[in-house]
Amino acid sequence: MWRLVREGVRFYRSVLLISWAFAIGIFVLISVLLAIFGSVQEHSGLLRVAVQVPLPILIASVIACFIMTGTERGENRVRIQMMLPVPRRQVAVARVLLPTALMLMGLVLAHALFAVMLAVEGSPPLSPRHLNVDFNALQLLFWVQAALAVREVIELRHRASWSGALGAKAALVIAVALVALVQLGPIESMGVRVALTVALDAAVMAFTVALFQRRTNFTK
Amino acid sequence: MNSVPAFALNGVVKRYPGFTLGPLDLTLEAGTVVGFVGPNGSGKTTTLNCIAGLVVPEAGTVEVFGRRTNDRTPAWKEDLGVVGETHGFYRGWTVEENLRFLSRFYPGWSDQRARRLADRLGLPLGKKVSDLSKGHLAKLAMVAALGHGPRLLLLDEPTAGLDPVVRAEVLDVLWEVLEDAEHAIFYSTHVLSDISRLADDLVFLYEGRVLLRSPKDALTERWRRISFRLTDADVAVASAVEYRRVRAEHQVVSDDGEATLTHLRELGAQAIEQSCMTIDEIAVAILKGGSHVAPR
Repeated sequence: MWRLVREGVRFYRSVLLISWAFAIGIFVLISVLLAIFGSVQEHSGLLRVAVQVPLPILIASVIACFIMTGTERGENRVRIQMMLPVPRRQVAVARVLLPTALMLMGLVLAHALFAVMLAVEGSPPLSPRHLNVDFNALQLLFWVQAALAVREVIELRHRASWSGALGAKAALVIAVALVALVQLGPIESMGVRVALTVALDAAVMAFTVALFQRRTNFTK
Repeated sequence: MNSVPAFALNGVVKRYPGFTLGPLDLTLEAGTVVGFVGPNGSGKTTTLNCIAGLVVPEAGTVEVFGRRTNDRTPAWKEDLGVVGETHGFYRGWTVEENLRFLSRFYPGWSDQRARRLADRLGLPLGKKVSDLSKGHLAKLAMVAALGHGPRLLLLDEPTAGLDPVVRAEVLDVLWEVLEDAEHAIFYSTHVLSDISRLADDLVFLYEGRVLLRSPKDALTERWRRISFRLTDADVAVASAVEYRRVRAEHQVVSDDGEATLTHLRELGAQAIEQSCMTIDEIAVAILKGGSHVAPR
């Protein structure tokens, strides 16, 4: 399983690096434009922009994840994976862990840059605001995992009747509603929100793994 | 020869809307080559996918070298090499990187074997898969399927769409593989001339069911195209699969030439002429005959 994830990371590493490079480039460009033409001309104002750097890194990571899921499908990866002498369950888990690994790499970079910017700004490097970065990353990861789950639900719909796939569809809708509730609801503690999003991400991943294992066709 | 079959399908059934494969009972002995022939949509690819574990049948069991194919203990896949219509290679990687990827999962993988095959086929190791021609992609699929030294090779139209030169190269490699009698090959194709060179047996699939299984040589020995003259109107001729009458001349395709000739002599037919049939002609006659051909 880990070998499959490692090979996947090796293959998509360049996609991730290019996405980050673009994101940082665009972020720096916007910051410079704001400094030259915008209202944020003071040093402190620029720093307030700079500390937003985790967001483009996370968005770049999620874009890399979506490129990865599209490529895996387009290149019919499931076929070669299912030909390998690897248990189906491990293939299923590897398929959800690969985007998670890419997202986690983005999260580590986002935290590192955020810590540097906070240090420059004068805030303590381990600011509670790091939890915000985690929360944003986990929310974005949810949508990547939801996209994988949707594909499995579509596969289920193909082999079962419309009503047979109804339960799976309902489960996905409930997961989306819950993630919206965690984001917009009255929960004030960021720690609790992060924990709940982790639980939702894990639930969607487990759901995708379970549906993949029940597939009867692995040709595409 | 090993007594354990390379694969055994026991009552395998797979249903799709408007099509049912099986119930299918089929075995392939180790060290033999079987050609798998059937019209489009007859279920050839589904059958191969069932054996490879890419399609899960609704009923029946599949065994590869005596081991039930299941998803929990996939060691049986180490005995299996598959060349299909689609591959799943990493298109952004080079040929060599794709082969290295595979080598990390197969304990029996031999870099030396893979390189030798790649050299033999003229496969450019440093080229990206996305830049490969159709012929090179087919060669890569062949090397990928053989790199771990599988005892069973499933080939699903491996030479489809290839030019005659590349096809000959691929088939030459298959010949080399066959020098080791341990290999079994199950070869699905429309290009029957490929099979006539390689196959011991032919299996004809029609509408999801095995119509006929026969040694290839027995088919070419028994099947005959016979013409004769007889004053009677249409006649029922023994073992005739196809019958046509042009004025006084009758023409039949027979799946047992000797039996037909004996019968015609008894009927008093004159100007009897017989000719051998190519394996392509026999296959067309069998598949056109559909369910009229008696299973053996």
